[in-house]
Amino acid sequence: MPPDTSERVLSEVVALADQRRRAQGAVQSLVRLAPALAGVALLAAVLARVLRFSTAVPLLVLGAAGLGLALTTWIRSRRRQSTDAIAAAVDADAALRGELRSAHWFEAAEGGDEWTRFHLERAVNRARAVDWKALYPPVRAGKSWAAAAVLATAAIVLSVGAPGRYLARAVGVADQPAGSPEALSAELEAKLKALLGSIEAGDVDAEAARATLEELKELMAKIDPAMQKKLAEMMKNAPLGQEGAKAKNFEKNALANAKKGDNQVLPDDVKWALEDLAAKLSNAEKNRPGNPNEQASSSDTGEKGAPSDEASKSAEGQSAQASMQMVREAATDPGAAKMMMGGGMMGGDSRPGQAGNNGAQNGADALLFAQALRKELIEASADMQGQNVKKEEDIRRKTEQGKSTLGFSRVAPGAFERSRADAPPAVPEARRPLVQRYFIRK
Amino acid sequence: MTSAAVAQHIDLFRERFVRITKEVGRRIVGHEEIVNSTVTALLVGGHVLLEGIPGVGKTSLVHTLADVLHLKFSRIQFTPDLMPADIVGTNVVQEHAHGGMFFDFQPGPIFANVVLADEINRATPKTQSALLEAMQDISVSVGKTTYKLDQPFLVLATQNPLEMEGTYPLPEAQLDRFFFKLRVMYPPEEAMHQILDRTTQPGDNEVARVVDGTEILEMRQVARSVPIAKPVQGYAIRLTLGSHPESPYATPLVKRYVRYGASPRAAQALVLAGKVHALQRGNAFVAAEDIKAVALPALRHRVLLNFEGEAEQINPDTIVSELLAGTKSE
Repeated sequence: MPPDTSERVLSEVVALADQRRRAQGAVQSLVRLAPALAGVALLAAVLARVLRFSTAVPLLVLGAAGLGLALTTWIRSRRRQSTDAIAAAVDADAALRGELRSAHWFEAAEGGDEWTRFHLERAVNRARAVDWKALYPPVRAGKSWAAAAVLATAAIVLSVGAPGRYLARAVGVADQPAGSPEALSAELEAKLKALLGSIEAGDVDAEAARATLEELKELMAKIDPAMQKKLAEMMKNAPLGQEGAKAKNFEKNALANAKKGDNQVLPDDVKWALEDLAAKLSNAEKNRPGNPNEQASSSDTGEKGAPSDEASKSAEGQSAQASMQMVREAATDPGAAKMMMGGGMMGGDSRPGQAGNNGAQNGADALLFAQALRKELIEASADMQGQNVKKEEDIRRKTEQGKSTLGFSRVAPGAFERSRADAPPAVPEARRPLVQRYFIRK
Repeated sequence: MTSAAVAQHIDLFRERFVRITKEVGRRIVGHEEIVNSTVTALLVGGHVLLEGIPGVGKTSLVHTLADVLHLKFSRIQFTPDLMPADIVGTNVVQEHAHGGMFFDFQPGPIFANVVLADEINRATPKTQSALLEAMQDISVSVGKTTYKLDQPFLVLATQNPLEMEGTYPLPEAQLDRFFFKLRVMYPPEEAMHQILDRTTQPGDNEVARVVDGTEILEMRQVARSVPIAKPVQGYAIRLTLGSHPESPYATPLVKRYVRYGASPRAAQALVLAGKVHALQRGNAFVAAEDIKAVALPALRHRVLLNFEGEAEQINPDTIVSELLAGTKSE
């Protein structure tokens, strides 16, 4: 058993001295590294401003550096179990000429005689006489701390503070566009969104929309030239608020979209149906009642005349209902669509029911189609795969569950002309062997 | 024994040690280290090989030491025709007073407390080996009878490193039995002045007998009582092992020039001498510093050079110094 007089005293002394020694070393390292890391953070802040990457980066750098330094310092300053090597190091620092180290070992070892006890007593007395604070004095490095603090503060200010814009100007970088979403006030942004939404939905009176847009244009002129341009375009389109104009506008859009393929986000069957509809609308324009040639030609065929207003309205309703089905069928089979929508020269009435063959009515039907499809188009356009829906089935489901009066049946691509069908996607090279193995499998 | 008694032992040891060295120093000038090491070897029961050119005071040192220690002293001048019996003694036929003959053992010069084996390398190996048993077992065997030697027993052998012609280098086994090998160098200029003043002018050069054999034996007990921590002992062991070329502790010079390293006797010598060195400093423990202080005389004659080392005349002291520098104490 270790002697009572100095039981574990030396271990404590060695452990404490070692802790002081390591803490001193850790703080010395910290003093050397802190200004450098703060400088790196400041540099990152400047670069973030100049190169316009996220201002969170310098803060992250600063935070990570601070955390790392704090962690390292804490680990290095922790008290640890004293060992012979530690005791030897502390002994050498205190110039105890091996006495502390030797006594430290004897204290931990079992047994011991009078000589050992005497040795331990003397070692304890000598160790207590050592001024450990003077041996491992606290590190004083005011300049380094001040430099680190200044640099870190500058990095933080640059990252989160307002002077960034002025700094960017100072370094010759173009100012950030004022019309960016961040620059808009919340109230103005909400107002703009509401207005744009209502214009696109066609719910705004043309005069009111124009007045509001004028007002917004002036506002935006102060903020963002690009936005001003956009508003000017919207104002140009806004006067078309009448029903017929809306339909005309829609017709143009439908044609343009069909040509441009803008509705790529729509499912294929919807896309094709719309394209088909656009073609029919284009054809219907030519067969409007206002076109005497076409009407005459219709009369020439011996078809019935125009119905009364009520009958016409009723017929329109029925026509709309029937048109939905026709669109489906047309989408399913282009040949059939020709037959159903043909009328006129072919002498057949494409409409089911009592109205019979009425070529003059086809144009009105087309408008009704347009009206009926308009909402559907908007709703379908709003369904963006990957944004508010995840799968193709979701688009269809949402469309069918919406307010649309139209329904779409699933159409297999193979049912259409092969020339209009997209080629299947190429097999990735990485999977080609697997695919081949799958099909060539015995 | 209490702590106070331990402290008293330490103080007494130091006081006696200082007395011996100071008294020897009255006659021997400029060799404090040699005197300290010789007394150290005496206090742990070791033997010393003194190597130096003629005239530097080797024999005077041994004479003086014997005088100071109040011990029986004998001198053996080793020559090529010296026989073992000339050292250990022989049986002589004697005649009884009432008639009849008998063998009577006549002890040789080895039967003394301090034996000076002067120019030991001039005797044949057979004669040199006569010292082996005496040095190791403190006894001699003549015929069928073994005779114990008186304690303290100390052999101080000298050899001349220059005149190697007609000499018989000591075998490794005998070299290993010497606790220390001390190199006696020329004294410095100031010491030379003192030597001349003392030996060329009338005056009293007599030395006093400051300690006797009993006190020497007491000091030996005290020296062996000093505790040594395992890590420090480990350092002594690493030093010893490091002198072997195949050891992981071996230094580059050891690997290149050493054929055989030090034996476990070297580790014993390091620890025992370290204890005396610690007591000299007034410490009740052995530090790595104490081991380092005695490493050179304890290891230099135990490091045997290989052919390359001999051919390049490598000094073993260089190898030991590198070993000390290259071996960590913790």
